[in-house]
Formats: sequence, structure tokens, C-alpha cells
Amino acid sequence: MSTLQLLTSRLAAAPDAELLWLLARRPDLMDPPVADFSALAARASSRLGVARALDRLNLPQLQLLTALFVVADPLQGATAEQLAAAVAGAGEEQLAPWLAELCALALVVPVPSPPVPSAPSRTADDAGPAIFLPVASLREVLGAHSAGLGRSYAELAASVPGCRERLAAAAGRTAASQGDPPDPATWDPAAALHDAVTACPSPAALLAGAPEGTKELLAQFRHVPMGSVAHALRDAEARQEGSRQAGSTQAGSTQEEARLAGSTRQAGSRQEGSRQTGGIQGHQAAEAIDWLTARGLLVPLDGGHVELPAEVGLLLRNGQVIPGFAATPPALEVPEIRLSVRDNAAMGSVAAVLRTMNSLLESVAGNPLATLRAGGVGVRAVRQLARDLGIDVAQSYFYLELAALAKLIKLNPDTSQWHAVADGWLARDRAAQWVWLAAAWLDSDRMPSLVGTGQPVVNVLSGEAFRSDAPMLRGSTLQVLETLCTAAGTAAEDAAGPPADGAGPAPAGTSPAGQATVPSPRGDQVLAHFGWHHPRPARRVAKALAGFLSEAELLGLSGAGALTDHGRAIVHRDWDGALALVAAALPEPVEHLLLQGDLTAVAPGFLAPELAAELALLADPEGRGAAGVYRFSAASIQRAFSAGRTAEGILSFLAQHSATPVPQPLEYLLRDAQSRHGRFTVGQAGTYLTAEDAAALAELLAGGAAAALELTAISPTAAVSPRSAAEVVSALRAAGHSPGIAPGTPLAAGSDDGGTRRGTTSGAPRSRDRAAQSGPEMLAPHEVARLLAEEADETFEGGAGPDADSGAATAAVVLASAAEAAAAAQLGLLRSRPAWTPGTGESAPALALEQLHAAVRGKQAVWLTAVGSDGHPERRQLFPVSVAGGRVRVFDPGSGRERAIGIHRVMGVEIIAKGKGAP
Amino acid sequence: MTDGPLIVQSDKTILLEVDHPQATEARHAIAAFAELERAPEHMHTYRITPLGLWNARAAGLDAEQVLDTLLTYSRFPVPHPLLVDIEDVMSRYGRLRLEKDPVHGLVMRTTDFPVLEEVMHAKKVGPLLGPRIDASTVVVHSSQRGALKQLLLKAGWPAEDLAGYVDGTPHPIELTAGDADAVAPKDGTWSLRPYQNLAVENFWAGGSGVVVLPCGAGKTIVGAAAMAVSGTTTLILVTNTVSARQWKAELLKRTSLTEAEIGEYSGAAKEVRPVTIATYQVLTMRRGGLHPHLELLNDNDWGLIIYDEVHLLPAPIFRMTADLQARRRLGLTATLVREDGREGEVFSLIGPKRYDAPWKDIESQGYIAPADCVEVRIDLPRDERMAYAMADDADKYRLCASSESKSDVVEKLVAQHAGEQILVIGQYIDQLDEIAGRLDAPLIKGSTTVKERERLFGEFRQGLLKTLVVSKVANFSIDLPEASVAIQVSGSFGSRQEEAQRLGRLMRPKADGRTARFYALVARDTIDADFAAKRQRFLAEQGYAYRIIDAP
Repeated sequence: MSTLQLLTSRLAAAPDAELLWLLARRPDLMDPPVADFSALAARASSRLGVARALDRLNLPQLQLLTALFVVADPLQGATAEQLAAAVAGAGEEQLAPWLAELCALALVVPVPSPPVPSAPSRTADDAGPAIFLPVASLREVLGAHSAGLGRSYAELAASVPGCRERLAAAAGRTAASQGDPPDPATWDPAAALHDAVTACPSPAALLAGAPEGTKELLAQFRHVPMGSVAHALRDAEARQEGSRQAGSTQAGSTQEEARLAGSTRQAGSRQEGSRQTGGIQGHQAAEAIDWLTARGLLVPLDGGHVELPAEVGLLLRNGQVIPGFAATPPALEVPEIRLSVRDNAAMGSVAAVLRTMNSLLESVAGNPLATLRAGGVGVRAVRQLARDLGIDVAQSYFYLELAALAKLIKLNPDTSQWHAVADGWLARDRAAQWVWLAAAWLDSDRMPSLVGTGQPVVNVLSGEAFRSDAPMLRGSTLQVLETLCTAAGTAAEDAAGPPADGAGPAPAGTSPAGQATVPSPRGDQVLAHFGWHHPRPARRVAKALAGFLSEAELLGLSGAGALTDHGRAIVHRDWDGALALVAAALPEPVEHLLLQGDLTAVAPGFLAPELAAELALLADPEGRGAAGVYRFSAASIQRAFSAGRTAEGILSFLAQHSATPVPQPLEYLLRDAQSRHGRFTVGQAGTYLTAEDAAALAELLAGGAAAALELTAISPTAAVSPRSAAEVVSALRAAGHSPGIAPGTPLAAGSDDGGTRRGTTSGAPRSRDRAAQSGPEMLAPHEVARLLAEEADETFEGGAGPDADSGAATAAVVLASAAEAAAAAQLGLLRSRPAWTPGTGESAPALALEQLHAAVRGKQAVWLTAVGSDGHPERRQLFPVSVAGGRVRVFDPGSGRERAIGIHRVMGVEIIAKGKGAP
Repeated sequence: MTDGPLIVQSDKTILLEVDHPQATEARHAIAAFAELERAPEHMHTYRITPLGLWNARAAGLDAEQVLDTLLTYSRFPVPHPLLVDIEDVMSRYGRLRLEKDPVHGLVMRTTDFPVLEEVMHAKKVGPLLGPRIDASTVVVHSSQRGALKQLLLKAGWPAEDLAGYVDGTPHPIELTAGDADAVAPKDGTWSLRPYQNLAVENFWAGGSGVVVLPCGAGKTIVGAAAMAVSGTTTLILVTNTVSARQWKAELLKRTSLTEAEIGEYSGAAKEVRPVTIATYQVLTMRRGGLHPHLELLNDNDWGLIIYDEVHLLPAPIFRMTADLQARRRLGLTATLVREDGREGEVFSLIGPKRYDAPWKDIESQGYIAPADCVEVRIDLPRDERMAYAMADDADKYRLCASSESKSDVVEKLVAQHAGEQILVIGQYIDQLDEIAGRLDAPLIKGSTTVKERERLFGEFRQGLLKTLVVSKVANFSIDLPEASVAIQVSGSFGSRQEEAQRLGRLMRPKADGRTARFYALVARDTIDADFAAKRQRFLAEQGYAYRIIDAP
């Protein structure tokens, strides 16, 4: 019976609520929408789908799944009783809810015993204990060394070259010693060893007669099934005999061989990398290894490594796959901080990040950042920027990355420069700007914390900081932080039930009312909890976690290490909630200034942007912080005059916005600067032209040549032209004049010069035009996503399920449940199709693969239909040998040879029942 | 968020809104750990420095209180990194302590083993230390007490000095206060004001340190009271001879000391008596690469050394002070801010701040504008402008500062303030000669004899002389509270700090409520104006009212 088929029928029979729950937990299953239930089942049990699902599992779920995977026969499955026996520290009842959850996640298929063929309308009151089957791709995802156990004898014999022979030798010796010489034709050494080991009642029985130190040696394989041993392939039997005869004389040479290092190939293992044989003398270890390998209890893989077979490992663990079931997260003493401290820190960060981002955009708008040939922005440009912003270089990396991922600076591929594109940004109020940043950061597939690290160093804004799993890791980290910050004061959660994940308490209700303190977990505590909530990605997140937390701190999602209410809203993607919370907490922009006699203007708070822009033109900003300090100077006033301001205008502007009278020295400075301004007027000209006779010049200006040369009179006897001197001279000569040339005037190659200058002068407005043309107002990334979701919502509305009936909900609710609507639509689609469509659609390859696996396991022949090199399907009777790496190895009894066929060419697989088609 | 009077900036400054109802409260609270940097009319700027925080620690404040103050009074969220930094900095003070050990003499103890390891392995600190006694204690060469403290401060681990002091030669000194039978004080009965008493108590309990009191708050009396508590021979270091005389007069008035017990050690006289008043100038005088008079500090067994105007203490005195760590040291000053940024040495060598005057006294003194500063902008005539434009850089200042047109303006101003006590101050003698001639007023310059100076000053004080022209040489001895108008035609005083102080001393609000007026004549569009801009900024930051007018 195919697992896929079982899963399909189970999914088809499941109630709506359960399916919606599944789609909410595993959204990748409906992205893109699946056609029917068999396709859904195929997707749910595909390698990628399972891998994603496993990344989300928490420790007890993963432990249970691993145990099931190890104890369950691929075809027969395992009962809950068997499972409970394999898991130390938990009974059958205790495991039941976790197991049910795994079933609901479509990672485990429950089947009543005995398994009956698919019957969608089957009722659940069958007799006999239910049997649980893990989905097909679990092996590929969990790997060969799940639960820290090695491979089984059968697997080792099949997959390690030369292993069968060594096992045969070992098994042969054992059998011979028992006076039971096997028949070489039908004898399977792996099976013999398997039987021998599983027949052993206890570890002690297995190790009877072992040399000293064997137990200690095996203890090192408790979590890691492999070890490195020098000369692992030595003839163990001979060596053992030799050492027995020669006594200690061999010890010297074996000492260095006996250095064991646990090799941590297994991703889930929590053991450190390498270890020494603590407490075991070198020759003792060598002896023990020799003894074990001679009996096939330790299997040499190659010249340097040995593996402890699963059977042996399991026996040593007394049959328990999982040594300790962790039903609850590790209990930690989370330090508490005052609520006011948290809010102070978070709101300070919110204000600071917006302030810094605005000045960064201003700075980048002024001088765009050039990219390096190697990618990213050079450290010199970044240092300059950091100096401008008054922050350290490491922080400026983050701000640059943040600006890029919020799409506030963009790379212009023509110039290879980063330009600021902040049209839509500047128009928003501060809370909206903050949500823009926070939402963009949350979904970003870049890790700013990688910048400046590594060898070679990762440049800021370069491709190396890209990590496709960043949003998942970041999201999970924040969720873990949230659970840690929410679990205030409550002791260990109910051990029996799985903790409710995802839907946290409403933001408003989280602040402890009685005492004003909140938990503020340290980074290592968050990591420890992450290891429980999501054990599989824990190793990947370990390096990035500190970065995530410090970035959340910089953004103000958390304050002093504790997640804030608006941070919680962001984690739940409740943008509007976050917006409302931040908007309420941010002080109103101030509209007034305090002008002082030392020629400073102080804005006591965040100055309204248009006011700040005008003031920044009139005076130079000083210092950093919530309040703005601006200093007037002669230079800054001149700058304002050059930009077209007048003393009167500035004074009325100041009088209008100042809460205090304009100090006399400032007024004097303005008037004084005004009187000095414009004594000289500067313009740009390429060539000047003077005439002794004003009338002659007037005549020239009136002629056609003057228009061509763009001659402008600046006094009765002087005119200027933007053209080069050579051009002017030749034009005048052409008009019949004979101009004199002022000494030092270059007449050659002048037109080039004029050309470039024209180019530069006209270039500036053009680029401005381009910026202006950039279309409608820019949107924040999260807003774009929301718009798309709304559109999708509308398209789905026709085929939506029962959920869509409650259309009277508010707009916010509709938006928040966009994902749910999609799930409902998906469900409606599924229900409208037949459940089991074998051989077609998405499920076909999965089914074929499953058949192949089954055939490999059962050593059965198959009818395999594959597309040949000429494009025509071929149907052959073959023996599949193994499936790996996208190819299936088959033995062709016709030609007597093995060949490999790409999985993508396989069209259909049909297992031939044993004895029927065998050659 | 509360609507407090403070705005804490991320660049470690604190803005205080003066007109806020809670401003006074907040000011008291932050004065303990932040230094006032600028005090213009509406927004005062305080700065948080490690020294300020350590001073607060030495005064018994802990980080929790500092953070609480900031959070309580701040209008906006306080940058969290700043809070963390404050906590970190404050926790550094006192982890190392200098103590007296009965067996080993001077030792350095720590409560934090790694810190001791860190400083012991610093290149410069190592040689100052003796053998290690145990994990947390190390012997210190007693001669290196000051040098060690300086280095530890630089390393960021300021040591708390609990090693005690030598007694010095006893010499009973008593205050005349409260003793009806003693020689009657000349100005009637008096007693220590409560805050002066507190300052002395704090100082004595702490051993050594600085007492910060604003001008006129009676620093001399605090010194005298400290001497009385000490009851030993005392060395008083002051900035100049005039100040030395004032000290002497004050001591005679306030204490049981007699003329014969007080010696002056200055350029004029070199007397060493139980109480000796020496000037910085004479101590730092160099002859042949040596400071012949610096030995005065150490050759005598002083029980107390008083440093007047600590913020002006010159570098050689610091070097010498480093060797005097076993003697009690009292620093007196109006401000801890030093022009040369040597606040750290004041902290490590003289001691932490022991007392800061309540703001109310300062308010009555310095921060309601004590004088009205007016800058008069003068257009140079055309020929002078051409001369200025073509002059060498070295001559430019002289040219614009001693412009003819300034003399005209001085004449007009003097006429405008007829009947008031007017002082004309300048740098260039020929310019002053000319002005004196025009005004028909006496001129005091370098060549004027001391006797003549005394006479002229005396007449001016008594009001017999209405107008006086003085050159730069007279700057040092100006103490003319009667002057109500000063006109500066050229040059500026030494440091900005000194300028503000002298201005304050010169220009007191008058009895009839009229503020004194300080004119500075500035030639427009020249470097004279650049200097003026700096002065304007500084004076405005000090809280003086400042105006600019065109020449009448």
C-alpha cells in the first residue's frame, strides 16, 4: 500500500478545519495552488516540502518523528505503543497529542491496523491499534544518521563499497565460532549480523568478553555514530591475534591510531566537533576497536572512519531511540527589566533609526555611492557616510542595508551608483516610515549582520549578504523572542499539551498590569529556546541570532532586549496595529523653535520636516539627538541667500516659527549679510567679448551671429557667450568681423571643451526629470504585498469557501485574513476535484519514486517506462538497485548490466509481484 | 512620555529648557553628574562626561539614581546606548582602591580580579607597582601614588584613594566666627553659611578634592574654614599677586592668624611662614630649565595645600602635585571646565569634586545677565579698507583694530555716558595715547609707575576720576567694581574663560539696578569681526546679553 495513496485519502477525508489548519502551518503547500488532493499529498511528502515542515517543528515533535522513522518499518509502520517504548521519558498518552499534531501536519499517516486499501468513506471505529507511517521523503530529509544512530547493517552493506565483504568476514567468524557454517549462496551477512545483534537481550550480553575500555569507547558513540580512526581497514582479526601474542610491544605503534574524533555529520546532533578518548589508554582503545570491528559491531567505512551500526547503537541505548523526551522548553532564569526602561529604549531607537535614515538618504542624495567592481560599496565611502551620520561604521552597514532592502536607495545599473529614491518615503509621517522599515527588514532575504565579517570580507550592499533562509530564520527568532517575553512569570507550560504557537496574545493585553517589569532574555537564552522551538535550523541561526536581535534593538522592535508591543504587532504582520501603536507613542512634531543669542536655533523635539528642511538651509545642524540644534553663521546665511532667500523672508519665517523673539544679533547678522550679498554677480561663460565702441557691440548683438553664439551683453561694451573662443572667433570672422584675440586665449580644440560643458550643464535637469518621471508615488514593500493580496482576494472571492460569507467584517480584518482567504479558496478548489488521480499531475513522479523505493527495498522487478534519448517512451522490466541524486540505478536482466536513468525521464513504474516476472 | 524639561541627545549632551516649570528641579538633579557647557537664554546645554560621572560616584551617587533622573525629567526617550554607557562608566570607579596596609604600606586593592590584571599588564603602570601580595592586592611605591592615579584614570579605571594623609606641622588656626571674645571682625559678626560649612565637611571627610563655588560665594572663607579644621601649616596657591593680597586680607579678617603668620611668596616677596600664599606665576618661573621655586611645595611639611582657581592651574604645578599625594589638597574653583582639557588631572591629582554649590547661588551670581554687551560695528573708511586689503596677514589685525574711526566712536560713546565711570581698554599704545589725548583722560600703560597706577585707580574708585584709559598690562590688576561702562577698542583678554570671569568681576549689576555696559568696537568685514564672532558666541553662551549696533 502506498503511503502517498494513504495520505491522499486521509487528506481527502479530513474535515475542512483540519485542512485549513494544515495550510496555515505549511503555506508552501498551496503556493502555487495545487490541483487536487493527490497533488497536495505529493507536495506534502516531497523532499522540499518535508524539509520545510521539519524546519518548523519543535524539539518534541522532531524527536517523536525521528523515533517513528527509526522504529517504523517503511511498509508496516509502528504503533503508538512501539513509539512510546522508543522514547524515554514519555508515556503513550503523553505522546498522543504530539503524534496527532504530526498527523495533522501530514508528516505521519495514521492507518488503522491492518492497513486496508484506500477508502475515503472509511469510518474510524476499526478495531486494532492504529499504525503510524512516516511520509516517504523523510529519509532524505532526516538523513542516514537520524537520532544520532548509524545506518543499519543492510544499508551499510548496500551503500558502502567493500562493506559487504567485511561484514561477511565478521559474520562468518561469528557463525564459525558457533559451529554453524553458513551456506554462501543464500546467506546474507547483514541480515545475520542484524539478527545476532537484535537477539541480544542487553548491552552487557553483547559486550561479553570485550577488552577493557570498550564500554568507554562506545560511550563516545552515544550521540555521534561515526568516529575517525587511523588505519580503520586493518585486518582486525590478525592484529588482535598479534597484539595478544606480542603483548605490550605493539602498544607504541597503535597509540596514534587510537585517536578518536567524533565526526559530527549529523545535523541534529548537539555534540561538539571533536573529542579525545578521555581516560582510555591508547592501546586499550586500539584493542577495543579491534575487538569491535572483528565482531562487526563497529564497521570500518574507509581508511580513517568507523561507524556504529544502528542495531548496535539502539541496543546500547536499551532500545530507546530518543534518550530524553523534551516536552517543555528549557527552563531559564530570564532577567526582568522595568517596562519604562523597555519603552524608553525602544522609542528612543525608533526615533533614532528614522533620524539616521533620513540623514542617510540626504547624504546619499548628495553623493551617490559608487559600487566596487567586486560588488558592494567600498569601505572608504562607508566611512565617510558614517562620519556624516555620526555613527560607527558597523552601524552604518546596517543602515545602508536597511535603506537598500526598504528600496529607499537603488542601484542604477548604468552608472553603478546607489541613488536615493525616497519620493514616497518623505511624504509619510514618522510612524508610517517606521513600519515601512520594520516590515521591509522582517521580510528581507539579506543578513546585514554578515557585512564586514568573513574572509574575504563581505562588502556592504554586495551579493554575499544574501541568504534565502533569512526571512524564515528572522521570523522564527522573533517568534521565539516573543514567547520568551510573553511567558512572564508563568512557570513551565503544561507538559502534556503542545504549547500554542503562532497566535500570541493580543498586543494590548501583554503588558503585565500589576508589576511594571517585563522579561528581557539574553541572546544565549533566546538561542537555547530557539533550539527547542526549531531544533533543525538552530545551528544555522546560531551565527545570525545576535545580528537579528541587535537589529531588532536598533529598529526599536525590542527595547533593552524585551519585545515591545509594536514589535509584537510587526512580528504578527499586523502593520496597521504597529502603525497605530508607534504613532501614539511618537511625540507630535514640534512647529516652533527657540532662537538664542549665541546664534543657535533649538527645536525642542522632532521638527516638522518642511520646517527642518528650510532651517537646514538657513543654518548648520549641530549635534545628534531628539532635539535639533542649528547654528546660524555668515556662511549658512549666504547659502540661503544664494538659494534665493532674502533677509526679510528669513526674518518673517523665523518670527513665524520662533517661540521667542528673534535675538538682535541674529537679526543684525541677517541684515549685515544681506547688505554684503550680491555685491558681485557670478555667472558662467565660455568666452568674453569686449568692444571699444558700444555701438559696434550693439550692432553685433542685433545680428544673426549673436543668436547662434548665445551672446549676452553684460555691459554696453562687454558680452559673454557659453561657446568656446574658437567658435566665437570663427563665427565673427564668418560675419565679416576681424576680432582681436586676448593674450592666452586657447583657440584650438576648443569646441570639445564647449561640448562637454554643455553636456554637464544640461545633464543635471535631465536626471532630475527622470526622477520626477518615476511614476506614481513609491510604496513600501509591505504595502505592495498588501495590494497584491487584496487583488488576489478579489479574484478568489468567486470560488471562496464558507469563510467568505462573513463579508460584513471590517476592512482590517479582511486584510489580516488575506492568507486565510487564500487557504479557503484553495480548499474550495481541492474539494471540487476527484481525490485520487494516480499517474497524472503532480503526484505522478512522487508515486513513481515511492514505487521505486519500494522495489529497491523488496528487491522486486518493475515495469519501468522511461523516455529514451530519442524521445520515445520505452517500457522495460528492470531491477531497481538504488535511488539517489536524481537518478535511479537499475539492473537490466536482459543485458546483464547496470545502468542509471534520470528520474525526470521516468514516466511510470509498476511493481511486478514476486515470482511472477522474475527472470 | 513625560513632558519634562530635559532633552537627552545621543551625542551625550543634555538640553535643559530654562523656562520649563520643572527646570530648577531638573537642574539640581543633573548638576551632580553633568557639566554645564553653554547657558544662553532659553536652552542650557549640559554634557555627560566620564569625569562628571565619576565625580558623581565619588559623591555617593550610583548609576541607578543617574538613570532615574534622566528618565524622570526627560521629555523624549533617552537613547538606550547612552544609559548603558553611563552604567558602564560609573561602575568603573572604585573597582581599584589605594589603601594603607599596616604591613606593606601603600597598596592597591581590587574587588574585581581581572581589572587588576589588566592594569598591571599595562606597559606604563607596571613599573609603578611593587610585589604582588595576593590575588587582589599589589604594593604601590608610595612615591608613585599620583602618577599611578593619573595613569589609572587614563586607562579608564579611576582609583579611589583611601590611603590617608600625613599630618603636617600643627599650627592652630581658628575662625573668628561665633567667638564673641575674639578680636571683633571688621564688618561685624559673621558666621559660615550653611553651604560653606557643608563644603568643608564634605571635603574633610573625603580627604582631598575640589569644591566648586561660583564667584563671590565665599571660596576664600571655605579655604579658611578648611585651614581651621586642619589646624596645620598651609600653603595657598593663587593665580596672581592681587589675588594673594585679597587672600591675606580675608584671612586676617576671618581667622585668628596674624600678619606675622601669613607669608607672601610672589614676585615681590619670598616669605615662607606657617601660612604661605604663593602665586602660580612664581612657582612656574623657569630659570635655566629649572623651576627654582617649585621646591616650596615639598620642602616644607604642609598639612594642607589649597589651590585657588583650579581650572587655571598650570601644568608644572600638576607635575609637582603628583608627588604630593600624601598631603591634603583642597581645590577651589567656579568651574571644572578647563580650556586645555586637563580636567582629568584635576580629578586624579587634586581629587574628585567634593561639593557643588546649589544652583540658586549661581543664579544670583552669573546667570542673570551681569552685564550688557554691545558690539559696535564700524565701517572702515575707503582708504583704510584699501590699506587693509593690501596688508600682510601679520599686520592686518593691527591695521583694523587701531583704525582712526574707532577713536571717533570712543569719543561719542564717552559723551553718551557722561557722568558714569568709564574704562577704555586697548592693546595698542599709540592708539591709546591718541584716545587718551582726545578724551583728556589719564592712561595707564606698561611704563606707568606702580605708584602712579595705585593713585589713578584709587581716584577712579573714589569717583574723582570719571574716565580712565588702560592698556593690556593693566588687565591683571583690574578690580574696579565701580566701573559701569567699559569700552574695548582693541585686543581681547587672554583666554575666553578669563575674559568672562574678569568681565563678571568688573561689571556687577549696580545698586540702582542699572546693568553695566561693555562695548567692544569692531571694524566691519575684517578679522577683527571674526574675533568678535567668537567672543559673541562665548559671551552669549555664558548668558550675557549681547547686542550688535552700527557705529553711532
